[in-house]
Amino acid sequence: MVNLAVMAEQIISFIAVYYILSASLNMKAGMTGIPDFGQAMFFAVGGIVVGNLATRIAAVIAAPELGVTRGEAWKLVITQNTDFVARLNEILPHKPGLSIAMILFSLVIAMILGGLLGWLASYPALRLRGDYLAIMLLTASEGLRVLATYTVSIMGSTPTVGLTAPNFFGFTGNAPLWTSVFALIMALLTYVYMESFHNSPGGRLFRAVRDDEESAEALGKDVAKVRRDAMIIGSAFAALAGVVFSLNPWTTGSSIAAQSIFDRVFWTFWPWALMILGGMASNRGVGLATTIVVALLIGPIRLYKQDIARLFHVQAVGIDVGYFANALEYILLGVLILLVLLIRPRGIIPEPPSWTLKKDKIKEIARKYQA
Amino acid sequence: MGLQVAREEELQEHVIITENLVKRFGGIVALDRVNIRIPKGKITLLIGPNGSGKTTLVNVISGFLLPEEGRVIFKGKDITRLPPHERVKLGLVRTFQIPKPFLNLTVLENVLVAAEGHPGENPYTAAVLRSKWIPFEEEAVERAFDILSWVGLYQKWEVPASDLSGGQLKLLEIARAIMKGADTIIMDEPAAGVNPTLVHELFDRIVRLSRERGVTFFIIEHRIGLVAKYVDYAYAMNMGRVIAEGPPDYVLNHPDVLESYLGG
Ligand SMILES: Nc1ncnc2c1ncn2[C@@H]1O[C@H](COP(=O)(O)OP(=O)(O)O)[C@@H](O)[C@H]1O
Ligand SMILES: [Mg+2]
Repeated sequence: MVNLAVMAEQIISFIAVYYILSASLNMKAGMTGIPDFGQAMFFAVGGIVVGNLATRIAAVIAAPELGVTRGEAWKLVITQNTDFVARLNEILPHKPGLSIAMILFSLVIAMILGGLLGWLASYPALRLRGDYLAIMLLTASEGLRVLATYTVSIMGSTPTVGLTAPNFFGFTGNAPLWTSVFALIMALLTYVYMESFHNSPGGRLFRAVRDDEESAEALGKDVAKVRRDAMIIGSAFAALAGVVFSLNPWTTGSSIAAQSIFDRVFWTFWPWALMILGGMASNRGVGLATTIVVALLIGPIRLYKQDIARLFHVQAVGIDVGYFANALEYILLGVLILLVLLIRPRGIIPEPPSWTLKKDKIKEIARKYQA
Repeated sequence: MGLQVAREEELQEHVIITENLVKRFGGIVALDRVNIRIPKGKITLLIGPNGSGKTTLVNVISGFLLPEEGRVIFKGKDITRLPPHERVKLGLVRTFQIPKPFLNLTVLENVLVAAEGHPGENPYTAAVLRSKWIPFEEEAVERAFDILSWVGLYQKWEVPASDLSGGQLKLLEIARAIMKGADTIIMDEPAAGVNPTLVHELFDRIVRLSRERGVTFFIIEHRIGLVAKYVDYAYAMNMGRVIAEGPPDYVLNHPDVLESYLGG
């Protein structure tokens, strides 16, 4: 029997994570035209801040209760992660102040570090264009994944296991519920921010630079700065998505391993797909596409894919049903993108103008200048 | 001492001065030691057959191409190596021969992007501190509609630029340049593809902008005669060189100029 409450929490958390991540990509790629195929590395920043930095600090603060010195706590919580996080989880529910402080710390620091990494990545983004830039960013993300995997001080001693986030929501008494609520709030704030930015002269400028850099330059715009700003702000939001994902071990899987947080299919290709489905530079479209696709995938399809897969009788041609069931998700995604590109090439909701003022206000001004 | 004074007077009178500009594309010498001086507050015309180097000169003056040799002086300042957007900040704006609109932006948005010094374009504050830029934006929208109704694109304000015809895109280029509020405007073949009635309206307006507000225009045109009556001074180029300069009537009837057109 499916537990509907758990499923709802899962779906809400995943929609939130994917919306924030896709909206972040939309700012860089959809609005500004930067083909960021390194989205996973900015996402991973959030995971590392939660699983590593915030966890270390929590351990250092709680060191006396853990029975180790602060210096030892800083190291052991990473090298003997499973053991020490389990011990932290016994303490944290009684420390709401520390827990909340660590959640806020993760949000702020991850966004700063994500922005910083975006700023670094913007240097090649100023020189390279199109395909070259896409490949360069993808390679950078893969490179950082390998580096993180084998660096004990980043990902712990066992690369495949990685780190486990402490139960920073333990104090609420119902962590799965409150992490989903938290995720939802973060997604809504992101949505409001992105809408406001799209409908501002800044959003209009990003879209102009995307459409024609030379023309923007000829109108006095510092195109290099615009691309850099898009990388900084967009990447900060990608790191936020990483935090929301990593603070939530019940609904999104228990470990923060390099293989999971740097996963290019999950955190780069999926956001691209969602953005294309929703509509490039269409914040509402991205939100809608994310909600529909994630709800269907996480819900019905993940649950019933074995049954659906059996309908195809793939065993007859020697394909394993379980294997096919997993591939089904990707096949469906591919079909969906093809359909949308054929029927609505500009996405479910095409890119709207930047409504900096209310449309009525603009019409009122227009009337004055009617020829 | 006397020379110094003469030099300064020249700088006062001429907004743009080029000194021995050379630009090559492989074997082609697109600019061959080009010296021009654009008088301040006047309308200067540059004619020449296709391929004579007019657009290349615009690109070098506006910073889209770096010359191999020579200098570009703008308002007495050497701007040869300045990026285009910094030249715009100094008051120098250009349009493109082949229009370069922001295709997915509406006509109104295209013009609004040209607004100079917009506080709402700071991406770090734009989304959260809306009240900081709303008054500026309202004023910019007013100016944009004024310009749009003047160039005849008023009805089209809400459509994406991708829906405009070639002639309308030319008008949009001009609308953006005027919105920019620059004191020096270089227009690369603004009349090409625009219907003759509109061309004359356009030049009447250019003359007014120049007379009333002292805006300097440098206008490129490859057809002889079309806009001659509106301009104060003229240059003619052929094969990368300036072959004549002076009052428009003199330049347009210059034997070398006529021959360059026959030869082409
Ligand atoms: N980017 C370029 N690469 C190579 N050759 C060019 C380039 N731009 C212009 N040219 C060449 O330089 C010469 C001058 O071109 P252009 O300045 O466009 O002339 P005009 O604007 O007077 O028609 C032509 O021979 C043209 O083919
Ligand atoms: Mg030309």
